[in-house]
Amino acid sequence: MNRSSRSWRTPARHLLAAIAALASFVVVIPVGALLLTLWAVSAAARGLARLTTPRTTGWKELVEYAPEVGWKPRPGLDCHAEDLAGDPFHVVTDEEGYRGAHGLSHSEVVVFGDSFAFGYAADDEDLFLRHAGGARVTALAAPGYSMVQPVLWMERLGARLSGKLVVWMVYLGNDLYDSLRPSTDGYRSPAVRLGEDGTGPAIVTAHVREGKIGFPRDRGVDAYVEICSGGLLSSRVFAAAEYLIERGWDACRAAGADLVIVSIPELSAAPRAILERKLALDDGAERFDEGLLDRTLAAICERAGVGFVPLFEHMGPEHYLQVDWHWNRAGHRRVGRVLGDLHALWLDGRLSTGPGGAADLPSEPPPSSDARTSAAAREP
Amino acid sequence: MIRLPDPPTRALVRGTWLILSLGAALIASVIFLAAGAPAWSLWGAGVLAILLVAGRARPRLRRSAYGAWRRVCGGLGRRAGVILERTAFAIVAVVGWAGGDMKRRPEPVDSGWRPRSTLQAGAYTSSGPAPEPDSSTGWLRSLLAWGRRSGHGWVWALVPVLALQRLIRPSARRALDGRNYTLY
Repeated sequence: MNRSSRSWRTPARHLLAAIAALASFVVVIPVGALLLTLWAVSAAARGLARLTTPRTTGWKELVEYAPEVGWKPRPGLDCHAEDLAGDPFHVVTDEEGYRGAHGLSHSEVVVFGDSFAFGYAADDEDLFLRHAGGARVTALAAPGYSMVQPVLWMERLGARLSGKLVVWMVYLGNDLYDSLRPSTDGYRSPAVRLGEDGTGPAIVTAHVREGKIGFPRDRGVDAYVEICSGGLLSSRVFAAAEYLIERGWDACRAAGADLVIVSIPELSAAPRAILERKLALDDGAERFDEGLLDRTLAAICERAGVGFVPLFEHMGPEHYLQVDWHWNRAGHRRVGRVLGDLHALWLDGRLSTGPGGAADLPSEPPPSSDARTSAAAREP
Repeated sequence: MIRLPDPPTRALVRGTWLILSLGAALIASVIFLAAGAPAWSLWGAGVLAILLVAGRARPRLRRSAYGAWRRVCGGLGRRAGVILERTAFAIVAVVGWAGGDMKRRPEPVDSGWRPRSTLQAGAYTSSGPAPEPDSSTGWLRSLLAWGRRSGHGWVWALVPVLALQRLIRPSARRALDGRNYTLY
Protein backbone atom coordinates (compact mmCIF):
# COMPACT_ATOMS: atom_id res chain seq x y z
CA MET A 1 0.00 0.00 0.00
CA ASN A 2 1.40 3.38 -0.93
CA ARG A 3 1.80 6.16 1.59
CA SER A 4 -0.44 8.71 -0.20
CA SER A 5 -3.53 6.48 -0.26
CA ARG A 6 -3.14 5.79 3.44
CA SER A 7 -2.76 9.51 4.20
CA TRP A 8 -6.28 10.34 3.02
CA ARG A 9 -7.84 7.04 3.99
CA THR A 10 -7.34 7.35 7.74
CA PRO A 11 -9.11 10.72 8.21
CA ALA A 12 -11.84 9.58 5.81
CA ARG A 13 -12.39 6.49 7.91
CA HIS A 14 -12.52 8.57 11.07
CA LEU A 15 -15.05 10.92 9.53
CA LEU A 16 -17.24 8.07 8.28
CA ALA A 17 -16.95 6.31 11.62
CA ALA A 18 -18.03 9.44 13.47
CA ILE A 19 -21.05 9.86 11.17
CA ALA A 20 -21.97 6.17 11.50
CA ALA A 21 -21.55 6.28 15.28
CA LEU A 22 -23.81 9.32 15.57
CA ALA A 23 -26.41 7.67 13.34
CA SER A 24 -26.18 4.46 15.34
CA PHE A 25 -27.21 6.33 18.50
CA VAL A 26 -30.78 6.22 17.19
CA VAL A 27 -30.62 2.47 17.78
CA VAL A 28 -28.06 2.30 20.56
CA ILE A 29 -29.77 4.70 22.99
CA PRO A 30 -33.14 2.88 23.32
CA VAL A 31 -31.50 -0.56 23.24
CA GLY A 32 -28.96 0.64 25.79
CA ALA A 33 -31.66 2.05 28.07
CA LEU A 34 -33.49 -1.28 27.98
CA LEU A 35 -30.36 -3.34 28.58
CA LEU A 36 -29.16 -1.08 31.39
CA THR A 37 -32.52 -1.44 33.13
CA LEU A 38 -32.35 -5.23 32.89
CA TRP A 39 -28.73 -5.16 33.99
CA ALA A 40 -29.49 -2.92 36.99
CA VAL A 41 -32.17 -5.32 38.25
CA SER A 42 -29.94 -8.38 37.75
CA ALA A 43 -26.90 -6.68 39.29
CA ALA A 44 -28.92 -5.50 42.30
CA ALA A 45 -30.29 -9.02 42.81
CA ARG A 46 -26.78 -10.47 42.62
CA GLY A 47 -25.46 -7.85 45.02
CA LEU A 48 -28.26 -8.52 47.48
CA ALA A 49 -27.63 -12.26 47.24
CA ARG A 50 -23.94 -11.70 47.97
CA LEU A 51 -24.76 -9.51 50.95
CA THR A 52 -27.16 -12.04 52.46
CA THR A 53 -25.02 -15.12 51.82
CA PRO A 54 -22.68 -16.05 54.66
CA ARG A 55 -19.04 -16.68 53.87
CA THR A 56 -18.60 -20.35 53.10
CA THR A 57 -15.69 -22.60 53.98
CA GLY A 58 -14.27 -24.89 51.32
CA TRP A 59 -14.39 -28.63 51.82
CA LYS A 60 -10.63 -28.79 52.14
CA GLU A 61 -10.98 -26.97 55.44
CA LEU A 62 -13.97 -29.04 56.59
CA VAL A 63 -12.46 -32.51 56.37
CA GLU A 64 -9.03 -33.84 57.21
CA TYR A 65 -7.01 -36.90 56.44
CA ALA A 66 -7.56 -39.83 58.78
CA PRO A 67 -5.48 -43.02 58.62
CA GLU A 68 -7.28 -46.13 57.35
CA VAL A 69 -10.68 -44.47 56.80
CA GLY A 70 -9.22 -41.83 54.44
CA TRP A 71 -10.88 -38.68 55.77
CA LYS A 72 -13.18 -37.40 58.51
CA PRO A 73 -14.88 -34.11 59.37
CA ARG A 74 -12.67 -31.72 61.33
CA PRO A 75 -13.54 -31.35 65.00
CA GLY A 76 -14.92 -28.11 66.37
CA LEU A 77 -16.41 -26.77 63.15
CA ASP A 78 -18.96 -23.97 63.31
CA CYS A 79 -19.14 -22.55 59.82
CA HIS A 80 -21.06 -22.55 56.57
CA ALA A 81 -20.32 -24.90 53.69
CA GLU A 82 -21.72 -24.81 50.16
CA ASP A 83 -24.01 -27.52 48.85
CA LEU A 84 -24.01 -28.75 45.26
CA ALA A 85 -26.43 -25.99 44.23
CA GLY A 86 -24.24 -23.28 45.74
CA ASP A 87 -26.49 -22.70 48.76
CA PRO A 88 -24.77 -22.35 52.11
CA PHE A 89 -25.58 -24.62 55.02
CA HIS A 90 -24.52 -24.39 58.63
CA VAL A 91 -22.19 -27.14 59.85
CA VAL A 92 -21.33 -27.71 63.50
CA THR A 93 -19.18 -30.60 64.68
CA ASP A 94 -18.24 -31.54 68.21
CA GLU A 95 -14.72 -31.96 69.56
CA GLU A 96 -14.46 -35.35 67.83
CA GLY A 97 -15.78 -34.18 64.47
CA TYR A 98 -19.30 -35.62 64.83
CA ARG A 99 -22.56 -33.83 64.12
CA GLY A 100 -25.12 -33.75 66.90
CA ALA A 101 -25.55 -31.81 70.11
CA HIS A 102 -24.93 -34.57 72.64
CA GLY A 103 -21.59 -36.09 71.77
CA LEU A 104 -21.00 -39.80 71.33
CA SER A 105 -20.79 -40.60 75.04
CA HIS A 106 -24.20 -39.13 75.87
CA SER A 107 -26.03 -40.32 72.76
CA GLU A 108 -28.44 -43.25 72.72
CA VAL A 109 -28.47 -43.54 68.93
CA VAL A 110 -25.35 -43.41 66.76
CA VAL A 111 -25.81 -42.96 63.02
CA PHE A 112 -23.12 -44.08 60.58
CA GLY A 113 -23.10 -43.39 56.87
CA ASP A 114 -22.13 -41.08 54.04
CA SER A 115 -23.12 -37.50 53.17
CA PHE A 116 -26.83 -38.19 53.87
CA ALA A 117 -26.03 -39.30 57.42
CA PHE A 118 -23.61 -36.37 57.71
CA GLY A 119 -26.49 -34.04 56.85
CA TYR A 120 -24.97 -32.58 53.72
CA ALA A 121 -26.86 -29.50 52.50
CA ALA A 122 -28.81 -29.19 55.78
CA ASP A 123 -28.38 -26.50 58.39
CA ASP A 124 -27.41 -27.87 61.77
CA GLU A 125 -30.77 -26.87 63.23
CA ASP A 126 -32.65 -28.74 60.46
CA LEU A 127 -30.72 -32.01 60.76
CA PHE A 128 -32.68 -35.24 61.18
CA LEU A 129 -30.81 -35.67 64.47
CA ARG A 130 -32.80 -32.77 65.90
CA HIS A 131 -36.17 -34.25 64.93
CA ALA A 132 -35.79 -37.75 66.32
CA GLY A 133 -38.54 -37.38 68.91
CA GLY A 134 -36.31 -36.61 71.85
CA ALA A 135 -33.74 -39.31 71.16
CA ARG A 136 -30.16 -38.21 71.71
CA VAL A 137 -28.47 -38.85 68.38
CA THR A 138 -24.94 -38.37 67.05
CA ALA A 139 -23.86 -38.85 63.43
CA LEU A 140 -20.45 -40.36 62.70
CA ALA A 141 -20.48 -39.78 58.99
CA ALA A 142 -18.68 -37.94 56.24
CA PRO A 143 -19.36 -37.08 52.61
CA GLY A 144 -17.98 -39.68 50.26
CA TYR A 145 -18.00 -42.58 52.70
CA SER A 146 -18.90 -45.99 51.31
CA MET A 147 -20.08 -48.93 53.44
CA VAL A 148 -16.48 -49.65 54.42
CA GLN A 149 -15.68 -46.63 56.61
CA PRO A 150 -18.70 -47.18 58.93
CA VAL A 151 -17.45 -50.72 59.63
CA LEU A 152 -13.96 -49.42 60.41
CA TRP A 153 -15.44 -46.79 62.73
CA MET A 154 -17.64 -49.39 64.49
CA GLU A 155 -14.59 -51.58 65.06
CA ARG A 156 -12.46 -48.65 66.15
CA LEU A 157 -15.03 -47.25 68.59
CA GLY A 158 -15.82 -50.69 70.02
CA ALA A 159 -16.84 -50.38 73.65
CA ARG A 160 -17.88 -46.73 73.22
CA LEU A 161 -20.93 -48.03 71.34
CA SER A 162 -21.96 -50.20 74.24
CA GLY A 163 -25.66 -50.05 75.09
CA LYS A 164 -26.48 -47.86 72.09
CA LEU A 165 -28.61 -48.28 69.01
CA VAL A 166 -26.42 -48.12 65.91
CA VAL A 167 -28.24 -46.97 62.78
CA TRP A 168 -26.23 -47.54 59.62
CA MET A 169 -27.52 -45.52 56.68
CA VAL A 170 -26.69 -46.96 53.27
CA TYR A 171 -27.28 -44.71 50.27
CA LEU A 172 -28.28 -46.99 47.42
CA GLY A 173 -27.08 -44.46 44.82
CA ASN A 174 -23.38 -45.18 45.33
CA ASP A 175 -22.46 -46.68 48.71
CA LEU A 176 -22.73 -50.28 47.47
CA TYR A 177 -20.49 -49.76 44.45
CA ASP A 178 -18.03 -47.45 46.24
CA SER A 179 -17.31 -50.20 48.77
CA LEU A 180 -15.41 -52.05 46.04
CA ARG A 181 -13.40 -49.03 44.92
CA PRO A 182 -10.04 -48.10 46.47
CA SER A 183 -10.53 -44.47 45.51
CA THR A 184 -13.23 -41.85 45.87
CA ASP A 185 -12.81 -39.06 43.36
CA GLY A 186 -9.08 -39.71 43.28
CA TYR A 187 -8.69 -39.83 47.06
CA ARG A 188 -7.55 -43.11 48.57
CA SER A 189 -10.34 -44.90 50.37
CA PRO A 190 -10.53 -48.29 52.08
CA ALA A 191 -12.24 -50.95 50.00
CA VAL A 192 -13.41 -54.56 50.11
CA ARG A 193 -11.32 -57.14 48.29
CA LEU A 194 -13.61 -60.09 47.73
CA GLY A 195 -10.78 -62.62 47.65
CA GLU A 196 -12.29 -64.83 44.99
CA ASP A 197 -8.90 -66.61 44.82
CA GLY A 198 -9.81 -68.39 48.03
CA THR A 199 -8.31 -65.91 50.47
CA GLY A 200 -11.79 -64.69 51.44
CA PRO A 201 -13.11 -61.15 51.63
CA ALA A 202 -11.19 -58.48 53.51
CA ILE A 203 -11.06 -54.72 53.93
CA VAL A 204 -7.96 -53.30 52.29
CA THR A 205 -6.49 -50.16 53.87
CA ALA A 206 -2.77 -50.51 53.11
CA HIS A 207 -2.99 -48.07 50.20
CA VAL A 208 -4.77 -45.32 52.17
CA ARG A 209 -2.49 -42.32 52.47
CA GLU A 210 -2.92 -38.59 52.22
CA GLY A 211 -3.17 -37.30 48.68
CA LYS A 212 -4.65 -38.41 45.43
CA ILE A 213 -4.25 -41.58 43.44
CA GLY A 214 -4.58 -42.06 39.69
CA PHE A 215 -7.65 -44.25 39.43
CA PRO A 216 -10.52 -44.30 36.92
CA ARG A 217 -13.44 -42.13 37.94
CA ASP A 218 -16.46 -44.05 39.10
CA ARG A 219 -19.06 -45.02 36.52
CA GLY A 220 -21.91 -43.24 38.25
CA VAL A 221 -25.28 -44.02 36.79
CA ASP A 222 -23.88 -46.79 34.52
CA ALA A 223 -22.76 -48.75 37.57
CA TYR A 224 -26.11 -48.11 39.29
CA VAL A 225 -28.02 -49.50 36.31
CA GLU A 226 -25.72 -52.50 36.12
CA ILE A 227 -26.15 -53.24 39.83
CA CYS A 228 -29.93 -52.96 39.54
CA SER A 229 -29.89 -55.29 36.53
CA GLY A 230 -28.53 -58.27 38.42
CA GLY A 231 -25.28 -59.00 36.56
CA LEU A 232 -21.73 -59.73 37.68
CA LEU A 233 -21.22 -56.30 39.27
CA SER A 234 -24.47 -56.75 41.14
CA SER A 235 -23.36 -60.04 42.67
CA ARG A 236 -19.98 -58.54 43.59
CA VAL A 237 -21.40 -55.46 45.36
CA PHE A 238 -23.92 -57.56 47.27
CA ALA A 239 -21.21 -60.03 48.30
CA ALA A 240 -19.22 -57.06 49.63
CA ALA A 241 -22.32 -55.62 51.33
CA GLU A 242 -23.05 -58.94 53.03
CA TYR A 243 -19.48 -59.20 54.25
CA LEU A 244 -19.52 -55.63 55.58
CA ILE A 245 -22.91 -55.96 57.28
CA GLU A 246 -21.81 -59.17 58.99
CA ARG A 247 -18.55 -57.54 60.07
CA GLY A 248 -20.35 -54.42 61.30
CA TRP A 249 -22.85 -56.54 63.21
CA ASP A 250 -19.98 -58.50 64.76
CA ALA A 251 -18.43 -55.23 65.95
CA CYS A 252 -21.73 -53.98 67.38
CA ARG A 253 -22.52 -57.28 69.03
CA ALA A 254 -19.06 -57.42 70.60
CA ALA A 255 -19.59 -53.87 71.89
CA GLY A 256 -23.08 -54.65 73.20
CA ALA A 257 -24.86 -52.41 70.70
CA ASP A 258 -27.89 -53.08 68.51
CA LEU A 259 -27.70 -52.51 64.76
CA VAL A 260 -30.29 -51.46 62.21
CA ILE A 261 -29.55 -50.89 58.53
CA VAL A 262 -31.50 -48.05 56.89
CA SER A 263 -31.39 -47.88 53.10
CA ILE A 264 -31.64 -44.47 51.41
CA PRO A 265 -33.32 -44.57 48.00
CA GLU A 266 -32.18 -42.55 45.01
CA LEU A 267 -35.20 -40.24 44.59
CA SER A 268 -33.70 -36.83 43.90
CA ALA A 269 -34.79 -35.17 40.67
CA ALA A 270 -31.35 -34.48 39.18
CA PRO A 271 -29.93 -38.05 39.33
CA ARG A 272 -33.35 -39.49 38.42
CA ALA A 273 -33.38 -37.44 35.24
CA ILE A 274 -29.91 -38.74 34.29
CA LEU A 275 -31.07 -42.27 35.08
CA GLU A 276 -34.24 -41.94 33.00
CA ARG A 277 -32.20 -40.70 30.02
CA LYS A 278 -29.77 -43.59 30.40
CA LEU A 279 -32.60 -46.13 30.58
CA ALA A 280 -34.31 -44.62 27.55
CA LEU A 281 -31.16 -45.24 25.51
CA ASP A 282 -30.15 -48.58 27.03
CA ASP A 283 -31.04 -51.89 25.47
CA GLY A 284 -30.93 -53.64 28.84
CA ALA A 285 -33.51 -51.35 30.44
CA GLU A 286 -36.01 -54.20 30.77
CA ARG A 287 -33.69 -55.96 33.25
CA PHE A 288 -33.45 -52.81 35.39
CA ASP A 289 -35.14 -53.37 38.75
CA GLU A 290 -34.42 -50.87 41.52
CA GLY A 291 -36.42 -52.93 43.99
CA LEU A 292 -33.62 -55.50 43.75
CA LEU A 293 -31.42 -53.31 45.98
CA ASP A 294 -33.80 -53.21 48.93
CA ARG A 295 -34.89 -56.83 48.46
CA THR A 296 -31.32 -58.10 48.45
CA LEU A 297 -30.28 -55.92 51.40
CA ALA A 298 -33.35 -57.11 53.31
CA ALA A 299 -32.38 -60.72 52.61
CA ILE A 300 -28.78 -60.06 53.70
CA CYS A 301 -29.97 -58.40 56.91
CA GLU A 302 -32.36 -61.27 57.56
CA ARG A 303 -29.57 -63.81 57.19
CA ALA A 304 -27.31 -61.74 59.45
CA GLY A 305 -30.06 -61.10 61.97
CA VAL A 306 -29.93 -57.32 61.59
CA GLY A 307 -32.94 -55.01 61.46
CA PHE A 308 -33.61 -53.36 58.11
CA VAL A 309 -35.63 -50.26 57.24
CA PRO A 310 -35.98 -49.25 53.59
CA LEU A 311 -36.58 -45.49 53.61
CA PHE A 312 -38.30 -45.88 50.25
CA GLU A 313 -41.37 -46.89 52.24
CA HIS A 314 -41.24 -43.62 54.16
CA MET A 315 -40.03 -41.00 51.70
CA GLY A 316 -40.84 -39.51 48.32
CA PRO A 317 -39.23 -37.13 45.83
CA GLU A 318 -40.69 -34.21 47.76
CA HIS A 319 -38.19 -34.97 50.53
CA TYR A 320 -35.21 -34.30 48.30
CA LEU A 321 -33.63 -31.10 47.06
CA GLN A 322 -34.02 -30.25 43.40
CA VAL A 323 -30.46 -29.51 42.30
CA ASP A 324 -28.40 -30.97 45.10
CA TRP A 325 -29.49 -34.60 45.55
CA HIS A 326 -29.59 -34.74 49.34
CA TRP A 327 -32.60 -34.38 51.62
CA ASN A 328 -34.39 -31.09 52.05
CA ARG A 329 -35.83 -29.80 55.30
CA ALA A 330 -38.96 -31.97 54.97
CA GLY A 331 -36.76 -34.97 54.22
CA HIS A 332 -34.73 -34.43 57.36
CA ARG A 333 -37.93 -34.17 59.41
CA ARG A 334 -39.22 -37.40 57.92
CA VAL A 335 -35.95 -39.25 58.54
CA GLY A 336 -35.91 -37.82 62.06
CA ARG A 337 -39.38 -39.24 62.63
CA VAL A 338 -38.30 -42.67 61.37
CA LEU A 339 -35.30 -42.50 63.68
CA GLY A 340 -37.54 -41.47 66.57
CA ASP A 341 -39.84 -44.43 65.88
CA LEU A 342 -36.87 -46.79 65.74
CA HIS A 343 -35.60 -45.37 69.01
CA ALA A 344 -39.01 -45.85 70.64
CA LEU A 345 -39.21 -49.48 69.42
CA TRP A 346 -35.69 -50.07 70.68
CA LEU A 347 -36.49 -48.62 74.11
CA ASP A 348 -39.56 -50.86 74.30
CA GLY A 349 -37.44 -53.85 73.36
CA ARG A 350 -39.60 -54.34 70.27
CA LEU A 351 -36.82 -53.68 67.77
CA SER A 352 -36.03 -57.16 66.61
CA THR A 353 -32.43 -57.55 65.56
CA GLY A 354 -32.39 -61.30 65.85
CA PRO A 355 -32.68 -63.70 62.90
CA GLY A 356 -35.42 -62.63 60.54
CA GLY A 357 -35.88 -59.35 62.33
CA ALA A 358 -36.73 -56.44 60.13
CA ALA A 359 -37.61 -53.28 62.01
CA ASP A 360 -41.39 -53.19 62.20
CA LEU A 361 -42.10 -49.53 61.47
CA PRO A 362 -45.40 -48.24 60.11
CA SER A 363 -44.57 -47.38 56.51
CA GLU A 364 -45.61 -44.07 55.01
CA PRO A 365 -45.77 -44.52 51.26
CA PRO A 366 -44.96 -41.46 49.21
CA PRO A 367 -47.98 -39.60 47.83
CA SER A 368 -47.38 -40.68 44.26
CA SER A 369 -47.94 -44.27 43.19
CA ASP A 370 -44.45 -44.48 41.73
CA ALA A 371 -42.10 -42.22 43.63
CA ARG A 372 -39.10 -43.07 41.52
CA THR A 373 -40.81 -42.10 38.28
CA SER A 374 -42.26 -38.94 39.71
CA ALA A 375 -38.81 -37.87 40.94
CA ALA A 376 -37.57 -37.75 37.36
CA ALA A 377 -40.65 -35.82 36.32
CA ARG A 378 -39.68 -33.13 38.83
CA GLU A 379 -36.43 -32.35 37.09
CA PRO A 380 -35.76 -28.59 37.63
CA MET B 1 -24.42 -10.21 32.82
CA ILE B 2 -28.12 -9.31 32.47
CA ARG B 3 -29.12 -12.95 32.55
CA LEU B 4 -29.13 -14.60 35.93
CA PRO B 5 -27.77 -18.12 36.38
CA ASP B 6 -29.73 -21.34 36.30
CA PRO B 7 -29.95 -23.13 38.67
CA PRO B 8 -30.00 -20.20 41.07
CA THR B 9 -29.04 -20.18 44.71
CA ARG B 10 -31.79 -19.54 47.26
CA ALA B 11 -30.22 -16.17 48.13
CA LEU B 12 -30.33 -15.10 44.49
CA VAL B 13 -34.00 -16.07 44.18
CA ARG B 14 -34.77 -14.09 47.34
CA GLY B 15 -32.72 -11.12 46.11
CA THR B 16 -34.45 -11.10 42.73
CA TRP B 17 -37.87 -11.26 44.38
CA LEU B 18 -37.01 -8.31 46.62
CA ILE B 19 -35.72 -6.19 43.75
CA LEU B 20 -38.71 -7.03 41.54
CA SER B 21 -41.03 -6.24 44.46
CA LEU B 22 -39.31 -2.89 44.94
CA GLY B 23 -39.68 -2.21 41.22
CA ALA B 24 -43.38 -3.10 41.31
CA ALA B 25 -43.88 -0.88 44.36
CA LEU B 26 -42.14 2.00 42.60
CA ILE B 27 -44.32 1.59 39.50
CA ALA B 28 -47.44 1.40 41.68
CA SER B 29 -46.44 4.61 43.47
CA VAL B 30 -45.91 6.40 40.17
CA ILE B 31 -49.29 5.22 38.87
CA PHE B 32 -51.07 6.40 42.03
CA LEU B 33 -49.17 9.68 41.91
CA ALA B 34 -50.21 10.20 38.28
CA ALA B 35 -53.80 9.34 39.20
CA GLY B 36 -53.69 12.05 41.86
CA ALA B 37 -54.05 9.72 44.82
CA PRO B 38 -53.08 11.60 47.99
CA ALA B 39 -51.29 8.75 49.76
CA TRP B 40 -49.46 7.46 46.71
CA SER B 41 -46.37 6.45 48.67
CA LEU B 42 -48.50 4.42 51.08
CA TRP B 43 -50.02 2.58 48.13
CA GLY B 44 -46.52 1.75 46.94
CA ALA B 45 -45.54 0.56 50.40
CA GLY B 46 -48.70 -1.55 50.53
CA VAL B 47 -47.85 -3.23 47.22
CA LEU B 48 -44.33 -3.90 48.50
CA ALA B 49 -45.62 -5.39 51.76
CA ILE B 50 -48.12 -7.65 49.95
CA LEU B 51 -45.45 -8.93 47.57
CA LEU B 52 -42.94 -9.56 50.34
CA VAL B 53 -45.51 -11.45 52.42
CA ALA B 54 -46.62 -13.45 49.37
CA GLY B 55 -43.02 -14.37 48.56
CA ARG B 56 -42.39 -15.39 52.14
CA ALA B 57 -45.53 -17.53 52.29
CA ARG B 58 -45.11 -19.10 48.85
CA PRO B 59 -41.44 -19.76 48.04
CA ARG B 60 -42.53 -21.37 44.78
CA LEU B 61 -43.88 -17.98 43.70
CA ARG B 62 -40.41 -16.48 44.15
CA ARG B 63 -38.87 -19.24 42.06
CA SER B 64 -41.49 -18.75 39.31
CA ALA B 65 -40.82 -15.01 39.29
CA TYR B 66 -37.10 -15.70 39.05
CA GLY B 67 -37.66 -18.03 36.09
CA ALA B 68 -39.92 -15.49 34.39
CA TRP B 69 -37.36 -12.72 34.88
CA ARG B 70 -34.65 -14.96 33.42
CA ARG B 71 -36.81 -15.65 30.38
CA VAL B 72 -37.58 -11.94 29.91
CA CYS B 73 -33.86 -11.09 30.14
CA GLY B 74 -32.97 -13.95 27.80
CA GLY B 75 -35.57 -13.04 25.16
CA LEU B 76 -34.94 -9.31 25.19
CA GLY B 77 -31.19 -9.87 25.43
CA ARG B 78 -31.19 -12.06 22.34
CA ARG B 79 -33.16 -9.52 20.31
CA ALA B 80 -31.01 -6.65 21.54
CA GLY B 81 -27.92 -8.67 20.68
CA VAL B 82 -29.04 -9.09 17.08
CA ILE B 83 -29.77 -5.36 16.77
CA LEU B 84 -26.40 -4.41 18.26
CA GLU B 85 -24.55 -6.87 16.06
CA ARG B 86 -26.17 -5.43 12.95
CA THR B 87 -25.40 -1.91 14.14
CA ALA B 88 -21.74 -2.83 14.60
CA PHE B 89 -21.63 -4.39 11.12
CA ALA B 90 -23.27 -1.28 9.69
CA ILE B 91 -20.60 0.96 11.25
CA VAL B 92 -17.84 -1.26 9.87
CA ALA B 93 -19.51 -1.29 6.45
CA VAL B 94 -19.74 2.52 6.41
CA VAL B 95 -16.08 2.82 7.39
CA GLY B 96 -15.30 0.35 4.63
CA TRP B 97 -16.47 2.86 2.01
CA ALA B 98 -13.14 4.56 2.49
CA GLY B 99 -11.44 1.35 1.39
CA GLY B 100 -9.52 -1.21 3.37
CA ASP B 101 -5.94 -2.31 3.92
CA MET B 102 -6.66 -5.93 3.19
CA LYS B 103 -5.02 -7.35 0.10
CA ARG B 104 -7.73 -9.16 -1.77
CA ARG B 105 -5.34 -10.74 -4.27
CA PRO B 106 -1.66 -11.43 -3.65
CA GLU B 107 0.67 -9.61 -6.00
CA PRO B 108 2.98 -12.09 -7.77
CA VAL B 109 6.14 -10.22 -6.83
CA ASP B 110 5.04 -9.29 -3.33
CA SER B 111 4.94 -12.57 -1.42
CA GLY B 112 3.96 -12.59 2.23
CA TRP B 113 6.77 -15.05 2.92
CA ARG B 114 9.91 -13.54 4.35
CA PRO B 115 13.28 -15.25 4.81
CA ARG B 116 14.07 -15.73 8.50
CA SER B 117 17.32 -16.82 10.04
CA THR B 118 17.60 -19.38 12.81
CA LEU B 119 16.96 -18.02 16.30
CA GLN B 120 18.52 -19.01 19.59
CA ALA B 121 16.69 -21.99 21.07
CA GLY B 122 15.33 -19.95 23.97
CA ALA B 123 13.86 -17.32 21.66
CA TYR B 124 11.30 -19.69 20.18
CA THR B 125 9.22 -19.60 23.31
CA SER B 126 8.49 -15.90 22.80
CA SER B 127 8.70 -15.59 19.04
CA GLY B 128 4.92 -15.32 18.64
CA PRO B 129 2.74 -12.29 19.30
CA ALA B 130 2.48 -11.16 22.88
CA PRO B 131 -0.73 -12.32 24.57
CA GLU B 132 -3.54 -9.81 24.71
CA PRO B 133 -4.62 -8.52 28.11
CA ASP B 134 -7.34 -10.49 29.88
CA SER B 135 -10.50 -9.87 27.88
CA SER B 136 -12.69 -9.73 30.97
CA THR B 137 -10.89 -6.71 32.39
CA GLY B 138 -8.87 -4.93 29.71
CA TRP B 139 -10.87 -5.41 26.54
CA LEU B 140 -11.49 -1.68 26.03
CA ARG B 141 -7.89 -0.69 26.67
CA SER B 142 -6.72 -3.52 24.45
CA LEU B 143 -9.05 -2.55 21.60
CA LEU B 144 -8.16 1.14 21.75
CA ALA B 145 -4.43 0.41 21.96
CA TRP B 146 -4.73 -1.79 18.89
CA GLY B 147 -6.67 0.92 17.07
CA ARG B 148 -4.02 3.53 17.88
CA ARG B 149 -1.12 1.22 17.04
CA SER B 150 -2.54 0.04 13.73
CA GLY B 151 -4.04 3.32 12.53
CA HIS B 152 -7.60 2.07 13.02
CA GLY B 153 -8.72 4.77 15.41
CA TRP B 154 -12.21 4.50 13.94
CA VAL B 155 -12.85 1.52 16.27
CA TRP B 156 -13.81 4.16 18.86
CA ALA B 157 -17.13 4.30 17.04
CA LEU B 158 -17.77 0.68 17.95
CA VAL B 159 -17.16 1.14 21.67
CA PRO B 160 -20.76 1.97 22.76
CA VAL B 161 -22.11 -0.98 20.78
CA LEU B 162 -19.48 -3.39 22.10
CA ALA B 163 -19.97 -2.15 25.66
CA LEU B 164 -23.69 -2.88 25.44
CA GLN B 165 -23.03 -6.27 23.87
CA ARG B 166 -20.97 -7.20 26.90
CA LEU B 167 -24.09 -6.77 29.06
CA ILE B 168 -25.77 -9.56 27.09
CA ARG B 169 -22.91 -12.01 27.46
CA PRO B 170 -24.14 -15.17 29.18
CA SER B 171 -22.91 -15.42 32.74
CA ALA B 172 -20.64 -18.30 33.59
CA ARG B 173 -22.77 -21.39 34.15
CA ARG B 174 -22.27 -23.06 37.46
CA ALA B 175 -20.52 -26.38 37.00
CA LEU B 176 -22.77 -29.15 38.30
CA ASP B 177 -21.19 -32.30 37.08
CA GLY B 178 -23.21 -34.53 39.36
CA ARG B 179 -20.13 -35.90 41.04
CA ASN B 180 -18.61 -35.90 44.42
CA TYR B 181 -17.18 -32.91 46.21
CA THR B 182 -13.55 -32.30 47.00
CA LEU B 183 -12.70 -34.22 50.12
CA TYR B 184 -9.40 -32.99 51.50
